[in-house]
Amino acid sequence: MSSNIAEASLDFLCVGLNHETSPLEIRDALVMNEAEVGRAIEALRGRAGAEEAIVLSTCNRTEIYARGARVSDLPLFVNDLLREIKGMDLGARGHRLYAYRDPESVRHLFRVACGLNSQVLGEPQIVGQVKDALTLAARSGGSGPVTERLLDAALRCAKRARTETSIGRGPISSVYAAVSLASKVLGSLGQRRALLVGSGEMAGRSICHLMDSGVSQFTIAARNRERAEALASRAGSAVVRVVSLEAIPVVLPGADIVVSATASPGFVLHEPAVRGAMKIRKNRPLLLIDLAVPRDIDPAAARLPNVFLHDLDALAAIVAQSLEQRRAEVPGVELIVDEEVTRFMRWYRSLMLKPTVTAFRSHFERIAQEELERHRARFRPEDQPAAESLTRSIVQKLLHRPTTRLNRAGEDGNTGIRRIDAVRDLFGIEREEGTDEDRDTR
Amino acid sequence: MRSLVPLIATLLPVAYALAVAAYARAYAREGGVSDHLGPVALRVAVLLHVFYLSVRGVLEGHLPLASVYDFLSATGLSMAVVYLYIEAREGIRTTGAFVLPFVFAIQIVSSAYGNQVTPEPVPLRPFWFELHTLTAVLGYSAFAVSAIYGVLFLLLYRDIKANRFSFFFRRMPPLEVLGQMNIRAAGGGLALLTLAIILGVGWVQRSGTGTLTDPKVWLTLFVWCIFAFSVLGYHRLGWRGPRAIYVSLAGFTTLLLSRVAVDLFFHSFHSFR
Repeated sequence: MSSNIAEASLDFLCVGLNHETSPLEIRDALVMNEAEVGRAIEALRGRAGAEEAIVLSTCNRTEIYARGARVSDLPLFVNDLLREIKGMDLGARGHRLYAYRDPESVRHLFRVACGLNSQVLGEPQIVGQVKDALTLAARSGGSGPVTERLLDAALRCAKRARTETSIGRGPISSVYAAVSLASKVLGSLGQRRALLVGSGEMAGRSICHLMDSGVSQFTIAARNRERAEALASRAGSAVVRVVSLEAIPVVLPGADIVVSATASPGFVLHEPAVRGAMKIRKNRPLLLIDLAVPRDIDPAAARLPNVFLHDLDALAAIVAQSLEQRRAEVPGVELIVDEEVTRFMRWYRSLMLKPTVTAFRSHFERIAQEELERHRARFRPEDQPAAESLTRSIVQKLLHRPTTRLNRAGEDGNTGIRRIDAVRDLFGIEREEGTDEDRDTR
Repeated sequence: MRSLVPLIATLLPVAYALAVAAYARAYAREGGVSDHLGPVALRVAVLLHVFYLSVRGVLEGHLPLASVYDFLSATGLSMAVVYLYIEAREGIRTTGAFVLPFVFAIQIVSSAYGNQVTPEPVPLRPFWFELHTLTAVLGYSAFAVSAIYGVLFLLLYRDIKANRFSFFFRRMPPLEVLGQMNIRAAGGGLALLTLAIILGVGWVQRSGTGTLTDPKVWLTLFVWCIFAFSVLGYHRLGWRGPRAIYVSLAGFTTLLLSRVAVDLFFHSFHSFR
């Protein structure tokens, strides 16, 4: 009997894999689209008997959170499910899924939402992915009051981590570091113009990050005009002009930021060109970012006043510094996670307590009613309302203190749980009563 | 009321010290959440300072600017006010840790040596003369704040050029913004100094006291020219970067040296004694 509540609080599970436990080829093969997520949730609800289920599937993780699943081995069930949906037998590959039971599953989700479990510590995309998981679960009928509350709590936890610590601060890629440097030198990038030299992947990422920072005017100077045009078409609402590499000296004076990432074996931008451009732009600051190896920009340009030249080494130093800072924030984020897990579990326990409290009170009220019925003949009809009122009042007074104490049991952790178990044991309250009640209240 | 003056004079450096500590803490705590403490502490210190000078003004019957220590106290208050204005305008609080220690140092000297009500009342002076003194003090304070921003600009400029991404680099506002803060403070100082010069010239001509050939007058005009050149360079000639900063720093250095030179080598009719 004493394990009733304990069992009730252990019906939440997380099963999955991530970048720490699985290689990229497996993670890639298991990424689920919306339809597949829907199928997984349907199977979890139908065949595994889960009351609520959520699937978090990204390029770095595939995790299933299920509440009240009635299968003895959920990891095995998930393994079969993944084989069925994605055609991958992890067991045959000798690959094991990790499993967490609450509160550890809750803690795991909160850590994931805060970016503590990400490949790049503190990366922000995971917050959006957690939101998407909830939306998909709601669409597939997998979410319920507990999972919705759980994901809300996870998002709150992530928000707190980002506002109360520096876990999400500082650039974590070379291109992002370049954009941060541009902001550090030029302030607001809203009215700035950027010149991208090259049309490869780095140029593409640079255009995205610069657009995110407000730059809306770009010139792409590239040898391969077709690829440059394709890149320009990805720039959405921004104004993009494509020119040849030979036109660089002409367009350079108009640019505030130059990002160069070509595969050229020699310099693409020479010091005299920069000097000439600085003269035309009346010495206004010019930021030169060299993302190429070998370098595209003549290092001699760095000696010119108001010219800021930074290469990959410099950007790597910024990235390393940011990651170091983020690592230093981990203990602070873990504290926030602890607080939020405690808060969520308290709410969760209170949910489990409600049926017990109701059953406890019903037990006494039923006895009082039975005794009243047994002795009803001994009262005159006009005295019967007074007898009923007296009985009700006695029951209320007797139950007031125990009810208050029971309602607070959720805040007292294990002591509270033992108290609830003792009440159930002493008064013979079965869990089923509570569970039904619990369902009714929802 | 009179007995309050030494007490507030003692409290003022303490209030500024608390503000400095709060700003230093916010500067040191990257991503900290408690950076509203500094502005609150500074506002309290400024209000206390205004109250202190008002009490002295009421007791003395004129602006409390009779001695060099009074001048220091007013300069400290003006610097704090100029800083608060720039902070509110730019929304940047990390530079307070560099500006406010000067305010604290100035005030501690003033409180230590000039915490008494002037025993002999200064003869009544016209309102516009008081305004001349007030605008001059505010102008000089703005130049001082501008100089601090100028030095911060040069330090950050040097760090970025040398690929040194230190803690200082991370905590400072963008270089462009520091340049704007420098030039805005210089521009404000220039406007106030212009007003001070106009009022001063008017006072000399009306009262017949002193002469426009006084060394302090032409040195002040020289300082005005340097700052005007700096502000003009920024706004009209598009100067950015160290050049504009060096010019404004030259202006402030000239201002400091001219004040020392006037007191040591020349006989001026309106120097503080």
